[in-house]
Amino acid sequence: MTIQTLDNAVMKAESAWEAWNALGAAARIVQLKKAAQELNQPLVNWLLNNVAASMPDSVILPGPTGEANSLNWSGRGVICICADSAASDTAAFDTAIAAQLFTALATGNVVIMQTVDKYAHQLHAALLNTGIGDSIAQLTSASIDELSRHEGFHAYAFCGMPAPLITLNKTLSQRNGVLAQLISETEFETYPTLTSLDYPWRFVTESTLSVNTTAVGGNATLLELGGKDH
Amino acid sequence: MFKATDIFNPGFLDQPLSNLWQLISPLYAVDESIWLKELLPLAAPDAHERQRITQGATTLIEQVRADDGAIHMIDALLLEYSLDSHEGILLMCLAEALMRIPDADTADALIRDKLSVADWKAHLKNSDSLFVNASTWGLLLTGKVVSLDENKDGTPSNVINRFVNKMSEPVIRKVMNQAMKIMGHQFVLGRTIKEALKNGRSDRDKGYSYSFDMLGEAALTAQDADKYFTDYEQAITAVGQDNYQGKGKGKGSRSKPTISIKLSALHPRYEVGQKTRVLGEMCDKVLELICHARASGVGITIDAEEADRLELSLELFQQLYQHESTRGWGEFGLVIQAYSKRALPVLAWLAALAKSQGDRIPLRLVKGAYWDSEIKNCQQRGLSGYPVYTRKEATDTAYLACARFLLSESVHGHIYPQFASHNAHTAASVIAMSTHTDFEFQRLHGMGDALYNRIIKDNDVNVRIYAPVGNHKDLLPYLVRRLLENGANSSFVHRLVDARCPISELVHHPADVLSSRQILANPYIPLPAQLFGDERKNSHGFNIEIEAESASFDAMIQPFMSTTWQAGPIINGEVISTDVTQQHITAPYNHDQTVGQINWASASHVDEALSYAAAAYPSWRDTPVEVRATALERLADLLEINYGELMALCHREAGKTLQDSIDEIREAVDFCRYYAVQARLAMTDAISMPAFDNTTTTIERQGRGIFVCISPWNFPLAIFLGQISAALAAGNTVIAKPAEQTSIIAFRAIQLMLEAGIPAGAIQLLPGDGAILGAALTSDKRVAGVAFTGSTGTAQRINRSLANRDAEPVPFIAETGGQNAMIIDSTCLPEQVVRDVVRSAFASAGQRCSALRVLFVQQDVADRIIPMLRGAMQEQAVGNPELHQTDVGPVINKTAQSGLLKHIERMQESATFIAQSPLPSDADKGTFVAPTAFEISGIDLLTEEQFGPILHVVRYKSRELDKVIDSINASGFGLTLGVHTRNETTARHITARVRAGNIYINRDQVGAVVGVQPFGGQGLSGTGPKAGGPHYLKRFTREIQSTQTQSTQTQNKQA
Repeated sequence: MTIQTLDNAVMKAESAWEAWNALGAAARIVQLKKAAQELNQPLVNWLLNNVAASMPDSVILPGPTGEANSLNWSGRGVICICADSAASDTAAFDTAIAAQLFTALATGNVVIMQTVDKYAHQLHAALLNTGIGDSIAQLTSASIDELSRHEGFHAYAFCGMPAPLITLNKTLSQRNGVLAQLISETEFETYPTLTSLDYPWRFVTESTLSVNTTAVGGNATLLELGGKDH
Repeated sequence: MFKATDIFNPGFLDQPLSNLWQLISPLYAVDESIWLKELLPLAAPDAHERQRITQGATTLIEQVRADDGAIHMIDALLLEYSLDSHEGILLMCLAEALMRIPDADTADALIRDKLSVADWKAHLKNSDSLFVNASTWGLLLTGKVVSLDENKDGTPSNVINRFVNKMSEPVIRKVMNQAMKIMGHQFVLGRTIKEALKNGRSDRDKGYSYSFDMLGEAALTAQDADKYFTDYEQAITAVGQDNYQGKGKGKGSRSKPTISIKLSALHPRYEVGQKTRVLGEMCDKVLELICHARASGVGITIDAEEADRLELSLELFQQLYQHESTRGWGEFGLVIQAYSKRALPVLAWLAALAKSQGDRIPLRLVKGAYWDSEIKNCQQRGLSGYPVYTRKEATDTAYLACARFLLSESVHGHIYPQFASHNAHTAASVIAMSTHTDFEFQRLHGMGDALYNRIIKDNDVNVRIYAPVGNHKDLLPYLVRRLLENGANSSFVHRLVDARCPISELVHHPADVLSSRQILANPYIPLPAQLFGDERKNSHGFNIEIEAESASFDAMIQPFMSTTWQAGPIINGEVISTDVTQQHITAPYNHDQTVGQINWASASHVDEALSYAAAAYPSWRDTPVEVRATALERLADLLEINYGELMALCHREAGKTLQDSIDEIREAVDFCRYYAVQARLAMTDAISMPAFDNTTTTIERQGRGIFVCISPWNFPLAIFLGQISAALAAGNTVIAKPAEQTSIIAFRAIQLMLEAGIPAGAIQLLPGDGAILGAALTSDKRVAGVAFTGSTGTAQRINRSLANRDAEPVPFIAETGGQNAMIIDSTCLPEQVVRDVVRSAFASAGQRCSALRVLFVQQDVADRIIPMLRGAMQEQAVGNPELHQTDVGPVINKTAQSGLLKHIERMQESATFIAQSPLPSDADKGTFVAPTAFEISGIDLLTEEQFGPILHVVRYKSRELDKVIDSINASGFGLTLGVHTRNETTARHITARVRAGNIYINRDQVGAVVGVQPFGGQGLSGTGPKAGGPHYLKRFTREIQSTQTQSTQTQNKQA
């Protein structure tokens, strides 16, 4: 694969990210669940349900009256779904790849997925069939080395053995720019990473919104408390 | 504590003034219930008085309600759109902002924004008043009653939507502006003093007199202060020349109008920290006005402002009052707010002051207009209590207690009381309590007309109207404040005209209502310390604006201002002194001042520290989370116990100002308590949940091993302890590598940590050269994770070092740089923006990750904002950070200084210079950089972050907002963003599109609070999770899963 092709793919993904991320988890998950129906992957469904149930779009935080503080999250951006090809011929491995793909998408990221095996094509087709745009989930034939040197990725979701993981981590650390997150699964019997509580959170970045509500019309909440009859 | 009833003792006012002064400050945040018990006897009526008051108030209200003209447009409007309704708030917001917007596009967008989101229609049939039903929107949109189409069933049709849809935006804008002017007209007596004098005649004929208030915000620049000074001067001249010959029968019509002066309009730095300037140059300015007023025969009243400035205002008042220009005049007065806990001793002090000089002091007693912001301010600063009462009836009680004192015989002749209230019960009480008629009432122009028309008819009493004079544009922020004061449902004015409210409910004596409460303080408004309820204690702050607090606080710090500290590595609880390199630390603002010596560790200490940390890990990991959490909470308490020493270190080692140092210690305390709570939440009980294969999984969290925590010098205590406390609470052992520049405070923090019960093996301190120690630490395979705050470049080096270990990836939590922007549009309030910009860009000498670097100003307001920014920068005091007067301290060292100065040099050549704050004459003793601002064409011109007090300003056209957003995103950084707009649609659009970790709307963008504003960026600015947020601590843990059916354990080994 030429660098230019990969560049184009990353640019295409980047331009699709904002709208996909802005959809919100619930709307994305509705679409992704349709795609997941074709796949019959209980882990994928379980993860989608978990994201829907445990990651509210916005959490209100405590603070002084007259100020509204909330903690929100969004996808990190463009995520590379990649794998160690030597490990890729089992169904258990396919499950892991599917889990990484769907979690990345559900949490508001756009993805470029390495075509390690046939299953990648099947996953991709399932997504396109439900109307998810091909800029949101793209396939690439680039090698893991090429992918890991590209600075356009915000995170890498990797499945494979520990040795190639360590190599990948080394290559990633040589990049300039954003410190890419490396979200990896190396055990395909129990999926300790994919089933952990923190797993979907690794795909997101948080943002805090702090609004001085008194600037827009006064501290009405507090005034009410001051005159409260009790 | 001052015993309130002593105030009536004979001879009380004959004490030396200084004795009475001593009574004031300690009451600043006194326990509310205890103090109210003191005050109640002063307010409580005896049976006879109670009966007279009730009767008087009932009659007044009956008469007012019988008066057809009682419900004015504004009253009716307030009745419908009270400020606890969504629509009421939107309406006030529109009123506040619309008229100052210079460009049509933004004005239209604001109207659209406010009209589109609320259920205005519901208000059409809500009120019993035909007037409100018919004119709600007519009043606002056209200024006259619009005829409503009716549906066949007699209900009004969807008139608003039709109205809005039918009319084009420019037409709506025009009528909205018209409507705002009508509102303005209700409240402004005249746009100029001449107009006001003319418009006031009809009321003067009725027997009223006037006090004129020139509208305007507080001055931020010397130019604005000069402008306001001229306004006052001209107003005094005009009033002096006024030749009105009283026709009215009332006392008032014969008395000349007075002028109210807002001191904060006369000086850009009317603050306690700038006391020398206030009592010097500012005092001279006010004296000029006094001389002019006295010569013109026009009385002057000094307005009341925020609680922080009360004591300063009194000192200034005394100086002015005792000046020979004022002696013998008797027309120099002031306003006192009864909601202040200090009000009663202030009155006693003023009465004694007047008695000692023999000149009467006119004194307007108000309830107080800044109540909401006083409460919020104290909550934010973690103060020991509130300066104001938290219940309305407590304020009303205090008002009556003050009134009784002011009407007493001992005060008679010394103070001329002016009771400002729109409450019929308060007025009836004053009349009942008075034994003489040497006092007056005051009411606000446009309010309380019916009530006082009745009072003036039935009593031989002067009533003065307090009337704003000025541009309608300037009125609206003021109007919002007045409406806030009067518009909430509980307000008397609101209910006086509300026929639904029985009179009997309006004539309860506030002292009776208050006494009936189980707790005298309002239980719905927690004290600042209890802001986070049962979860954790809020960190404690000190109010250095208040004499009593500041004096004891200073006494805590002083013993450490000459200390010379000796510090070094701490390994396994021992201070290491072998194989170390001694470094001499001097204060960044005065290199002649020695702070102490720090011994730097060498690479040979790294292995030793790691070995102890590794050995201690299993037992610390298995220590119950409750024990770990409690130790951190003990540390938080110890930090507060050692406040004085830590303050001195913040000053002397890090060059931090007083308030920055307080904030620093508070943040450290909050981190310890917050992560203690987070650890308990996440780690006390295992979580059971259904697994994807229909088994049940149990998940427990535990520490990962050894964490290396590498922290920066700009928050040498807060970030240092934030990282460590999260790592420790999660059950890791820690090697802490503090910044080279600020290792002494880190050393003291670790000593306190050991004192708090953290085992010696769990925490190792390695001060020293970052390159040497950092490399040795991060290349060691025993390290299970790194938390780092610093530059993006260093983060990349650490990442490489970790990745090169031939080990699986471990968590690397990095907080790095930023290129932080603020976007302001033309709906913003310029004074508020400039205040927030100056703080965001220059506080802490710009050495905050969150600090503002690039300000985007909508072109239409740039020529208003930029000069104001320039003027405000001229007023910044750069210098010794130990002093209260200093706004901006030094930068950390010579390297930082020369880098920043080079950037300024480059900008001098390539950009448009805006302003530079002056440096002190002895600036070369330390490493100072003057706050500097340049105008540039875009953020893309800045290739790297300048970590200091340098601001770049970019003008943008409103239609190019999205380009601005794209350019901010293209920088790759994503830490903080500020937005100033009254348009919520715009705010939402910007927040949705800008990729930033912390977004602040209509406020400054620095000073994130732990657990309230979790902090951290994205992209080049950091990895997350956010410090002080609910996910941070979890990143320091690993999850241990066990599946019940198989009872196998798996470890989540991933990074």
